[in-house]
Amino acid sequence: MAKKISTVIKLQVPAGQANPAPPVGSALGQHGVNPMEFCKVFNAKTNDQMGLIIPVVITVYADRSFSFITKTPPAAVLLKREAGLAKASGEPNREKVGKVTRDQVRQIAELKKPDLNAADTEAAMRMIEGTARSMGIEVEG
Amino acid sequence: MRHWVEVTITVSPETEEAIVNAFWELGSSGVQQSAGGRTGASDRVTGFWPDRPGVNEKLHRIARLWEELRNLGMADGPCRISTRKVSEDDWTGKWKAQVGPVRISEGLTVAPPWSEVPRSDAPRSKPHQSEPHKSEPPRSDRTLVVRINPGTGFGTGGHETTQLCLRQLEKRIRPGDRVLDVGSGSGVLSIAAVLLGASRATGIDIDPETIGNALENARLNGVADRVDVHAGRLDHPAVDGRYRIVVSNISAASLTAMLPGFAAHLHPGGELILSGLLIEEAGAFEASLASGGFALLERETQGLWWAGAAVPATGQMATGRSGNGPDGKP
Repeated sequence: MAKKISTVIKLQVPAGQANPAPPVGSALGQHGVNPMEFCKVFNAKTNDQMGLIIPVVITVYADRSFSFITKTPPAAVLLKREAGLAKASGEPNREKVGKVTRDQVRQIAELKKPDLNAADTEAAMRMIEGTARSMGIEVEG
Repeated sequence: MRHWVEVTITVSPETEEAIVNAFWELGSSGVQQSAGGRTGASDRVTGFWPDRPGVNEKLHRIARLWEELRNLGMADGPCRISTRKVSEDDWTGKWKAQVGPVRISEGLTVAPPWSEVPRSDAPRSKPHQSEPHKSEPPRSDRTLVVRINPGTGFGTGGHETTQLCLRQLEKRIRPGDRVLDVGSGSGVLSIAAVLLGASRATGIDIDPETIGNALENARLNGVADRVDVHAGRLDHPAVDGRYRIVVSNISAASLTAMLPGFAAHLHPGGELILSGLLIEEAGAFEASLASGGFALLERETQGLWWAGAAVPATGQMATGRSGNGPDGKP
């Protein structure tokens, strides 16, 4: 029989570097889960992606056990990597800080497709383009 | 007690990525997203900053970004930001209350200080016994209780890797051993090593937040005079010479990087006890152990996790990067 679910928690955590500070500590601790036990397994599973931010969905069960699934890195992180940027624009309407090509957008869309609520690659690309725009990154081509 | 400012912003699918990205760029310790409904999109995102001056400036920058997103036609209405102060107290009590005694083996139990250990698990030695390392470590008559106050350091006894390491220590500690515990966390392995008969254990951890918790736990067990714990790495001055046992429960990558250091700090006849890696990582790690000059004595798995005990391979003593002096000190 499936275990009774107590809560579902969505976090973004640096790969290989989870620690019991919030939000990991606060989100899990208040549901009776020792945050360090999550950190141990999350860090082991994501160590090979060090440097990236990993979205993670954690299911906490009534018996205070937990399971989690990791998602593809956020589109914003992938866009900055493709554009060679350390930071997005703080004023994306006025100040454009970088460019990506449509091919790069397509690559990100393909990578992100499993986690996007998009019918096809074109729809996923439009979502990635929207994110680029919100960050002051122009799409060429 | 550490305090944070929790900042929550109402977002739409169009604004979520940019706001979350701004949280990261402004130094949030992480991001929580509301779990979302049918579409999976979150309608609120939350970031956390240590409660120090400067948080208001971050809020201004987020509000300015929101204005720009509105000018781009991506955001509706004003930026809805809510803030509140939170502290570790708000959540640590809730998970600590769930920690109870964990029977590691016939002879060893880890328990929080407030927990009664069932009568059959009564301590086989009082914490303040004199010079326990001079007597044969008790084995299986009654269980030895390691008291750990759950806190900032990893290792309350509940995790498989802690249990695997404790069982290896129980098997391998000899009276009078000096033990080096790399990544000491709560101090559970150092404290258990001394209670099992080691003359002294030195713990090091790169996270300075764990040191107070480990020292508190050493005092709780009456072994503060034989357990020392320091914030730092293998080059810390407290890591002195060679040890009969080196134990480390961290991760595959960290352990692999430190193998030369472990070799430099291990007696020729010493034993290395390692855990913290997933079973799926074990193949590559065992190969690293072999190429690092270690022979695997034993491997054990529990749940998702691997642990192993190794010795310097005969005739091909591994050497540390720093080399070894004639006095055995690296």
